[in-house]
Amino acid sequence: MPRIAGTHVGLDPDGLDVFRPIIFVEIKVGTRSIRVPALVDSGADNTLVPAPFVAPLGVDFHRLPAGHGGSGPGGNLDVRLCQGTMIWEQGKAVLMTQFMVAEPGKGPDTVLLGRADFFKHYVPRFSWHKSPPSFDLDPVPRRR
Amino acid sequence: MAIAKQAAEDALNEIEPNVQEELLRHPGRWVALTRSSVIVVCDSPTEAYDAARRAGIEVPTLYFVPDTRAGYSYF
Repeated sequence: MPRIAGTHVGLDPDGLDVFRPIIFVEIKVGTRSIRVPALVDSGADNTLVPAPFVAPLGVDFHRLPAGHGGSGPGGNLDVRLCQGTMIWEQGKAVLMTQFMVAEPGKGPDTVLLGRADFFKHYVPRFSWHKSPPSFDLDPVPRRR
Repeated sequence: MAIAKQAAEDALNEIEPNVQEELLRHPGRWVALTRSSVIVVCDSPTEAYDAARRAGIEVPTLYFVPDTRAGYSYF
């Protein structure tokens, strides 16, 4: 897979550029689809979708089946399982057919691609020592 | 070969640099965009989705512009 440029998402409180390893994924729930940025996050156990990202697809967080909960740097948060497809067009891959949704008002500000699902399809290699930063996503070799 | 490789790399850049710079002017807001332009800036993702659909885009691309000035992120 060719190298992917880090996305410049802004300046930090010290005025330095912030780049994130982002790819755009398509999320489909029922007949509706959107494309949204997703952060390749080696620190996330599972892929996590903030509730506002799937609200346009008709997903009401409070109507999803209650889950086991979860925690992040900001403390505990309610996470619930949503049936839907996540596709990475560039990699021509269906990444998952269900994902966890974080409760409104808590959790990250973008989709996180975690180790239990995304990292089983791709091996990331980050080159954040370069300017601008970039990263590679190599497909996991299939066993014969 | 060099041109084909460049084209592949361009395709993966997703958002053109001038659009990335435009996004930085809207921290904390939702944007519907194409690779080369910002369609609308809104306060909610549903509003952005609806605006993109009205513009004829079947699968809207939505982006929440993080407010990186507000502090560091520890996902």
